Amino acid sequence: MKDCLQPKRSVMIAYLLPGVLIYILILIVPTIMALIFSFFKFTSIKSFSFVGLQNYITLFNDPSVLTALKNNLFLIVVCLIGQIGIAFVLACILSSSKVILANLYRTVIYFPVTLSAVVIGYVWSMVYDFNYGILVSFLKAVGRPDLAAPWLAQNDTVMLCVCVPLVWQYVGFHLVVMLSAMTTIEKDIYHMSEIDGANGFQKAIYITLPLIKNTIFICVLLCISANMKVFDHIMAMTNGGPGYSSNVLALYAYKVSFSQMNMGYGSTISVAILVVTLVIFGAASKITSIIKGND
Amino acid sequence: MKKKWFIVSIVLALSMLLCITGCGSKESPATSDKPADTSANASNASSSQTNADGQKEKVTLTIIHEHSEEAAQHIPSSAGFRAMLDKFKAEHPWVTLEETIISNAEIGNKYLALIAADDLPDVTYVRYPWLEDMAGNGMLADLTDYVNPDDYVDGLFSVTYNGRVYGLPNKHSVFNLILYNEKMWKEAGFDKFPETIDELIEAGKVFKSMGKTAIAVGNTGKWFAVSYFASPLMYDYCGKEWVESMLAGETKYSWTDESFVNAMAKLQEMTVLFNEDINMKDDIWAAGWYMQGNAAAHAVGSWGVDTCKNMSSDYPEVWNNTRVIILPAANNKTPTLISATGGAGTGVNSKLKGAEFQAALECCLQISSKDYAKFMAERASPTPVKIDLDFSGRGIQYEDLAAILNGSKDVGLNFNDYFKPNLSSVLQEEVQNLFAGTTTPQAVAEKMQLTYDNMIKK
Repeated sequence: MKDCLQPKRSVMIAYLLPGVLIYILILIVPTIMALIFSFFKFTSIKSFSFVGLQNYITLFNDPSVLTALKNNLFLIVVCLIGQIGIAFVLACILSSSKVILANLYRTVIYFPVTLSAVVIGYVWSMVYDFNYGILVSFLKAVGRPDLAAPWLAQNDTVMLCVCVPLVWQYVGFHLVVMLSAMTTIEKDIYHMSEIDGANGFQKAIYITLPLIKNTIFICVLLCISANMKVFDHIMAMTNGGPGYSSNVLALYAYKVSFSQMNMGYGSTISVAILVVTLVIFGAASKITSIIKGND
Repeated sequence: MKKKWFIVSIVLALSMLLCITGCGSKESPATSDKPADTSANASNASSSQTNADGQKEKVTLTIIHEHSEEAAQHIPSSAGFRAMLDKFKAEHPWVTLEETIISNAEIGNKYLALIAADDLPDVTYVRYPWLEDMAGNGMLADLTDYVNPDDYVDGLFSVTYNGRVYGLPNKHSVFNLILYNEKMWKEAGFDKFPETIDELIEAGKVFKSMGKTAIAVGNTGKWFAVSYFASPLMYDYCGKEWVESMLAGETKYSWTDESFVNAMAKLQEMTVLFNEDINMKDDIWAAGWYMQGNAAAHAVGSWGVDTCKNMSSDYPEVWNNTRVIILPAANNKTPTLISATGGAGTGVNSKLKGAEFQAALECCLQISSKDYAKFMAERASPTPVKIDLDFSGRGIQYEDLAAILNGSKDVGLNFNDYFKPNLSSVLQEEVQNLFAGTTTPQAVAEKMQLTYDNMIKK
């Protein structure tokens, strides 16, 4: 009976082989290659020269990298608060039995997740348009046209403007994940807390949040990784501009590699993205374990 | 039963591996680090073209370009390119041309990736800044013996590397042109268009006070402002010798020279002329903004006259009052016409031999032929092949354009089409910063110098 349920080790290895091979070829090999390329001045496969740590020295002295990294970190912070915070609040509201048409709201809120990032980028560019945008039209309608500005063209406002579509698009994703986690919470717990006089806010903070904290931790990791590799939204909305004001690491790596024809340095930036992401993951894990320990 | 499943899974794994590895290049890259010598190809070409029955040998060529059928309906250079390809196909029925079409915005990066992988198509784009990597690494066939430089406006400078010719230009663009609404300027108190940049800047302030844009520009693509304004200002302040010295990678001058800093300072001063959202708008939007009467002028390249002409049925009054002029010069200089023939050329992959090489060469020759020049001239577009440009009868705007093309004595190189991609990329970003007011001309100069130092450091 056991033999029927559990195949031989060799059969299991054979089953796993296709997936493992694909994983190695599209993830492990390119990562190793990027690491190798980062030590070379590399403009074409026929033009290699070993430069040791020169690309890494350039990386640490490149102000554009620092700007891009700051922008990535800014996006992470805003999206952690915006996406996960708003998703949690909405999930608490939609999981309440008092809300009618909850499924409709969930579907509508999830809908932007299915849209292409490039479409989102262009749509929000139109929203922010200085001459015809809906925001400018609104300001004119309420008698405050003086507040209108080319927000995407100004260094001090561009990053905030770029964050809004990212939050808007992915709230639905985290909402669905959290709602599914909330379905595992026994309704009796809520009923008992209601008998004890707990209000909605107290239920969310003292019951829901602790019971789905592992799911929230997964959402945090997904949010961090998504914002460390964010590319297409920025590309479509601002192309990293004005200047480098809304540049992010992935976009900078792409431009260095393909627009400036410097694959070696582009690979170095890619390695930096990986390292920074792992460091942030490590920090998030540490913070989570401390929180769990306190619990 | 178990054995059967084991075998099936092994077969699946192997077939998947084969599929993945099968995605690679059909041919392993050559390893020569010297420019390819194709003289043998040429001598063998004619003999290998026909087989024993006297029939042409079947040849399949790949080509990657940007000229879709849709683009050909609106853009003369695309119409010309496609017409030449069609003619080549009609005259070479034994050649199968496998075309891959990529948008204009993406084709440059696509080619850079192909150069990096040494995976160029048979008929490939050639641009001046790429020559060192393409020709220097033996990826291109030497075409010196098949072309006459005297037939081309730039003597084939844009496709020449180490004294050898590696391609044929098929696009000739000029950049620092201004379309202006003559009536609007008169209404603002200007009987004629300003003759210096300083006068233009003063006019910009007048238009701004009227709530109008002086010059509509879309610079979200980042290269536009460098081509339209930074390139001519460099000639005005730094001079031709300085520009050519920097292009050659010499250290006689530097980017931190006062002349370059002054050019950038003047560029920043010009911000008052433009729409406030210049960094976030594209060229087509700017054309529309001008044609709708919201701007008194519009900065364009030679293709921009057609763009506005295509909108003329919707805005006939603006179009009828539109004239074309070269951007005035700064620093008490006469205007330099910024041009490029290096924006797009075609060359032959050095891996081709015999009949394939001959067919690819003939394809390139057709694309850059006198036929092409005639086709373009008939559509009032400049071409890299020498031909008399007479746009009379096509409207005052085209006559102005022909006068500029035929009459400009000082011609300069467009920065984006000739300088290395890393330098042009840095200048493009920094010019956006200048317009946004977040950098200084001195800082731009220092950043350019740093990039230049890294570039020339071998």
